[in-house]
Amino acid sequence: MDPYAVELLRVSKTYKTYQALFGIDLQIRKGEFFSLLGPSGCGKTTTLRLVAGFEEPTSGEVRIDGQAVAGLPAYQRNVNTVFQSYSLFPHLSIFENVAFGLRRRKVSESEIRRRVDEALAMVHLSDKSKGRTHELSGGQQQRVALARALVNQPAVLLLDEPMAALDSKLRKEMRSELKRLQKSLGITFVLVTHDQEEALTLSDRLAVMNAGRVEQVCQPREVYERPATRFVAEFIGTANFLPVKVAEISNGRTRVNSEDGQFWVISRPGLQVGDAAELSLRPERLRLGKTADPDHNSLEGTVAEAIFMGPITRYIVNLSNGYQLLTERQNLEESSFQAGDPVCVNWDVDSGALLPR
Amino acid sequence: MREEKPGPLWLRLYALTVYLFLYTPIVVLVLFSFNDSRRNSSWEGFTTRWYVTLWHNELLMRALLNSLKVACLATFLSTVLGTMAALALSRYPFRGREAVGALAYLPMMVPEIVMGIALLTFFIKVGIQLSIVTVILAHVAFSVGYVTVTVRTRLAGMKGNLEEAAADLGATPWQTFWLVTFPRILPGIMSGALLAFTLSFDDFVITFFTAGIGATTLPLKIYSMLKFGVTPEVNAISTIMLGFTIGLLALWSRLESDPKSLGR
Repeated sequence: MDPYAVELLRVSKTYKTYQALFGIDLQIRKGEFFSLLGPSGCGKTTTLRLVAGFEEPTSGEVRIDGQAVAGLPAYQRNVNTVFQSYSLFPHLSIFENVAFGLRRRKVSESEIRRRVDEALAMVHLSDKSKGRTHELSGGQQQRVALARALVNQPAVLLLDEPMAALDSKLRKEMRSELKRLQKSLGITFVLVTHDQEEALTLSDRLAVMNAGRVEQVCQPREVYERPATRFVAEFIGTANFLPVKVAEISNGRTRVNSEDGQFWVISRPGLQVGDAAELSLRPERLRLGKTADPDHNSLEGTVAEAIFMGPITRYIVNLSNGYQLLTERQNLEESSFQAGDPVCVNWDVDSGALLPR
Repeated sequence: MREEKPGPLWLRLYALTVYLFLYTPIVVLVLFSFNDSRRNSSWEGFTTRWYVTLWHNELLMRALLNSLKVACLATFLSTVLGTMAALALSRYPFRGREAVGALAYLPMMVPEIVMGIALLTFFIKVGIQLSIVTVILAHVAFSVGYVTVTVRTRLAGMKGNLEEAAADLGATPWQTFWLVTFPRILPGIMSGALLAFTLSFDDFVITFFTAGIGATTLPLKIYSMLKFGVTPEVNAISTIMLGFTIGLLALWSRLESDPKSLGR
């Protein structure tokens, strides 16, 4: 049996004069919650539309459940979509909206009734089945859209920024609802989003896309802690970057040289001794101290600014060579640094990530 | 909130004069259709006998029947063609779409007299005998643009990707049209049809050029009756046409202004 629900093989898509996708490869496993994350215009929605069948790739192959789907129109594909604009049918009742897909497949009337009721119960809208879509709030409309798609038991559920139009409280509720549904149904979910928090909290794995290319495919934790490119490191969270040169590689660790000294970091495959690289450091992984920690990476500097933010304080540290480092420190105790204090910035070997330059 | 002040007196008087100028002749016509006299010069008392006379005027009734036949068939044809054109123009990309779209508006701009002469020349050159069929064809030609425009507006106003949603749920293009697109654009189609009907029912100039023997429509018949002066019968039939047209236009403006009237 094919382990992948969706596969994209060197898929490119060109509109008249604009190339949206540059030969991307993706493998989405059965039953996983997969996200396509990226800024607008990165090609994530185009990718989704290629899977749904609203567009055909210019080159390359799309497979659903192991089957190539080239030329197969949207209405013959075993996938369903939840649209950003909900796209409910305003002239049909809520029941008929949900029943739409089943009726197209000539499911018996009693079966339709049972499954639609079940689907509406699943999204807590049983009491609304006779109502009209315009009587519903945005969040409720989105849940109808979800029920309308899931009632067909598709091989893959595609979600195109489903929460973008909701306010932040509803969005959080909807998020846990989505996760719960995906877990209990075991259907493969593919979520398109530009919201990193959404992608990180919901996904089993995610792909970060940029300008028509896939930058990295991995688990949420890895994408944050081991970004593959500078784009990924910057797009997800905040990071400091230091230009370095690879000096020594041993036992899965790499020693790099910078203007301010040498640091040890987890090796990155592909980087050789002598290569120029960048060291990416997350602000919350940097510890401020009065002295340098022995056996750890350390830099000396001066506090330029201390910004109190409630649970954390953000420090901007000036290094001797003019570089600035952003660090964050939880306000667990009183002691804190003031602007002008000399400090040491310390971090563990596995706290940094090497990026090719 | 700022209180809305009526304009200065002279402006209100001016507006009143304009409306009087526009509507006095029509009001007079309606009034004299109920006048108990053969002449339109003085008021002799109220009667409805001219309407009874109309009913018994066989030639006039035949003209009315012709008009209805022409209007119904022309409306049906131009509604179907106009809707199809609107769908093609707004849903399918093809070469020269802009040009074709602009051409759809052209019959609305061309002076009726030019349109009438052009159609007459065309029918003669192609060798089609003038008859009621040529009238219907001519009416389709000038009303199809109106339908295209109203339906296109409605299609452009369809929110979200409802058609994609239908396809996504397994509806074939044919099912998508009848189950989703058609119910959404029905008010536009109806309003286009009403407009086409009104235009066809009222038309004089183009019909005058394209009508053959036995294809006399109501406006043509009324015109020929004028040779004997403006009789009370003419007033009466004009009043009926006026009422009919106002009714249709009222229905049309309701469809246009209230998107919920049929779409929900």
